[in-house]
Amino acid sequence: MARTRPRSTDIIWLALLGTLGALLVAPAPSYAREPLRDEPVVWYAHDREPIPTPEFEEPGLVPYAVDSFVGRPFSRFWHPGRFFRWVGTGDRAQEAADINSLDEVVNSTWFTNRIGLTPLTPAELVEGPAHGRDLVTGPDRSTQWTIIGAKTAGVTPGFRIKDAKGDVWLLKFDPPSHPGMTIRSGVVTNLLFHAIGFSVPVDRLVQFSREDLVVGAGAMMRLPRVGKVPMTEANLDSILTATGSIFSGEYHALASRYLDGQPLGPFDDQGIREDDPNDTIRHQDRRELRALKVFAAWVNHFDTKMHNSLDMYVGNPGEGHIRHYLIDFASTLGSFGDALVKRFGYEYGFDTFPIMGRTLTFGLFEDTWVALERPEGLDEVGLFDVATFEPDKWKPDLPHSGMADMTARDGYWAAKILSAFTDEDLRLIVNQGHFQNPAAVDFLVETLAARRDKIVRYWFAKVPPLDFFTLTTAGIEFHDLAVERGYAATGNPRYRYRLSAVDKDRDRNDAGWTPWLETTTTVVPLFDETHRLAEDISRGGEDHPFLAADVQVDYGDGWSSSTIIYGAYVTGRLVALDR
Amino acid sequence: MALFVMWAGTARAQDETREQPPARTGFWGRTQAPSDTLGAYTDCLWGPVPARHDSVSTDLVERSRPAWETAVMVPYWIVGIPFRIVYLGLDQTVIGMDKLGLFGAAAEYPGLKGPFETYIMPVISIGDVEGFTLGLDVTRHDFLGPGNMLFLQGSRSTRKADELSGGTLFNLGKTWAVQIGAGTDEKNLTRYYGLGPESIDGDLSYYHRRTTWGGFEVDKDVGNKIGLELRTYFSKVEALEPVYEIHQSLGRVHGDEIPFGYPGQSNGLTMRLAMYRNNADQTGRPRSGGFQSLGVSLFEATDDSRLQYLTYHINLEKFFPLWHTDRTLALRAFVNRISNTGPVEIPFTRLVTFQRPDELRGFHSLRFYGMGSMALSAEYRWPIWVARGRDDMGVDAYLFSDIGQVYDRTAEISMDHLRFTGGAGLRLIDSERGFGARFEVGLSSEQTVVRLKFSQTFQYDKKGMLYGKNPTKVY
Repeated sequence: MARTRPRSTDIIWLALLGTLGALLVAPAPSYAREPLRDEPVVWYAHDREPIPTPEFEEPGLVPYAVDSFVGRPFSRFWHPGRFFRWVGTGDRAQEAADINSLDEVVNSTWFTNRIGLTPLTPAELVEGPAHGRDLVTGPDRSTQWTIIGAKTAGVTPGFRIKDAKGDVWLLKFDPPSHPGMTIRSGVVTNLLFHAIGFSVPVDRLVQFSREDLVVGAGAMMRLPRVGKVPMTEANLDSILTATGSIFSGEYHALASRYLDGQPLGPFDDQGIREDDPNDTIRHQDRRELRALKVFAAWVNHFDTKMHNSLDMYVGNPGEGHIRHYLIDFASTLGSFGDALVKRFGYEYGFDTFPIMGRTLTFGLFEDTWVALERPEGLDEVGLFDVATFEPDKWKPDLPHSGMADMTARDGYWAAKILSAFTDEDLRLIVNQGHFQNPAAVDFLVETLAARRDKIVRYWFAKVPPLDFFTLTTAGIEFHDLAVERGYAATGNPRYRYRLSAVDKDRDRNDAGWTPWLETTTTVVPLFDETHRLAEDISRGGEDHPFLAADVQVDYGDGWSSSTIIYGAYVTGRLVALDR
Repeated sequence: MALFVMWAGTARAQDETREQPPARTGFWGRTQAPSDTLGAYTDCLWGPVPARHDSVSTDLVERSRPAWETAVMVPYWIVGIPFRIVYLGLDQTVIGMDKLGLFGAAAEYPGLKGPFETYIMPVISIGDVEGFTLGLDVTRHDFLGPGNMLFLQGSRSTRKADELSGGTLFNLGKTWAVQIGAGTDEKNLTRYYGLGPESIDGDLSYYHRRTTWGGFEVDKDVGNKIGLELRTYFSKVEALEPVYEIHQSLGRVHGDEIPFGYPGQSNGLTMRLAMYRNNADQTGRPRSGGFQSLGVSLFEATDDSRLQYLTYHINLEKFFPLWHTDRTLALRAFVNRISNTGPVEIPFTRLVTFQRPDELRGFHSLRFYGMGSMALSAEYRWPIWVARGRDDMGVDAYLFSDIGQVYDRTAEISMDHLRFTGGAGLRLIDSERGFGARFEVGLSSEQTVVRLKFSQTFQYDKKGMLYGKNPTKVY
């Protein structure tokens, strides 16, 4: 009997049957929670171990764009795990891997908790990464700034300068078509992202005159079709004249200080850096990079391609580690080089589904973003509004793997941070843009606040904003962020709670949950007047050493989903929080 | 009992800590603050966050994949192997091209950067009669002066449809320009169905057409969006027996009605004078205005045939903005007419036919031959993608309908002879050239024609000599 080789259709059928079989035997998608441990909550990542200096690596924009537009979305679209998880939980990816048991991002070389955990002083807000470093006013002004290089290609010119302290700064100007727009946006967003917790360079708005600059010996500039040529004072004059960034006789520019350390190129939004042993989790599994979607949506930072990030090797060779920065925020708050593009923030650079939709509807329907207009009379502000902004529909220009994996908890975490910015905080930061028209400041503060509010309301509706549980003499106190920060639909929400003893795997003891008890305060009372654990709480024994407090809130539209806080009986630590 | 006291004691201790005034530490900056204080707070919304030490630090690890996901991933991995291999090849090709700097060059002008500051665009096409064609377009911008251009193109096909041509453009001041062009092309399988509007699809035959031409054109911008064009060129057209599809050669299929000029050749000089008016607001995505052209050309044989004829051409186009942004209705009407002023019959190779840009979409090019042609076109366009804005790269979709016919005598223009076509397509608009390409499907009662063209039927690019376009195809 002749043997026949399997045909490709046979293989496909086999694969389909295998999938079906796997689904039949597989349990419903669920999250594997970390076991409870009576240990201090982790707040830091071990990611500063000394490593050899990695090589500089910068992939081209086109290969990255091809990957971002084609390979990665295609892979995500057909990924069965993402589909079944979405059906089962509403999220397409597993929860982030750089969070602690309280659902907070741990401090690392990627992110440092700032305004999300504690209010920042005015000085910390407005000085950002320059705070306490004698860099607040930008480059040192005790002598002329020496130009050591120039960038003349592209939309906006720029210089590399060295100041009296030997620090190197990049001076960037606005495109002549929009004087005062990109540099001010760049400074404002840089400070906002620093307050959020990202590592960013020191970007300051500087004002100077022609006499403040001198062309250094050996300074070179690149001319189109000519190549590198020595730069002259006459070149400097013509470049400065062409900038258009002149206000009241002074040049305005964004001064960005070169980062400390050795540049290693940008970090990718997917995968890990193979030559960094400290880089142990995929970047798309980092909550701060997933939630970048929320932060970027706030300021319409659509240009979140990997080339707007930078890895720096900090420390002596062989003794240092990598710190990860976000850089270049000039294309935010509605600005973008010399062109203002309405689509940015609303669609990917090439967005298959909207394109299909427009094709099949024969142009009968207009896109929402077409209505977007610049605020009248505010030359320093771009296309930035509230009316057309929808937090869940915002998109970067290039699809971002981290953002594509954002879960509801990631989104909530980001919204929680944004809700910590007060309107006064925003005004302090926007003022650092040195806008020439005070109305521009008012507009940006109001718009940022309104976009923040839209974002926060959206995510607080998805995840109940009961947070920051602490143990006090009154019991377990918590914060209702919706009420505290003005996002609750009602000023008198109701809360209910129940308690149980659980083991490390969160399994309850035989007594199970106590009945639901209602309250109008943000306290789960555990103690009686003698500060002893109330008698009606089911007690844990050796097998059930943790107390679980399940809390829900009702803002007038029914009880929310649960937020469960776990404490250890022995030490009294609050060890974990489940949403 | 001890447990209860412990809880209460811990709570009091935390309260005491919270009452202390917050002692802020510096944030970012290795030169400012010891790194182990980054993110540490004596007080925050969670209570104290201690400084970095081992008991509050961890090695981050990936979450393990749940068992159910592993189960469903296995078939995905198996089925995905060929896709991953293909994509890996694509990915590595793109990376390789990027490392060669090819995309950096493409940013300035379309194409890959070649020697002598040229830009090279590979051309690949597959056609039912041309076979597989591979070619190159070479463009040199600022050739011998700013704004000038040199263009060369060559292609070979597997079925003897080869082309070699080129041209130059010299700007003489702001309003004058000169184009010089020459070329030769050969198409072994050129379609012929018969003469006049009543030729039928079933009479498809082929002949081998070989054309050589060379000439120049002077363009003058006279202001008010009006331009004049004076073109003079020599052309030689040969109609021969085909090498392939011999059983369907023109001689065999139309043995009893062999058209004049087959087999044979015709050569001569053509002088053409034309006037253009282009007040459309844009070349790529016009919303308003229009494009009109009026031309007359005289052909004079340079062989001993004494062939002489005049060709008239009228083209009227108008664009109307519709309900939403960049929704446009484009209308077009054109008439071509040959008037024989010589003593001999005009060879069929010199007759009017529906061919770029005067197409009757839904029919193959060269479907009809006659002494004249006329058609009306309507095209509804709407944008489906824009890179940045209307003036940048983008894609429009469109629905179209063409109605037209060829005729030998004006009396032949009638409803019986009019041919109706319709279809849909996509137009790629390029920021540099105003128009990039169109991909369309045209339907008629006879056939379905799929076209990918780098020219448009509306606002047809006039730089024919520069781009080495065969002038005997047009008008």
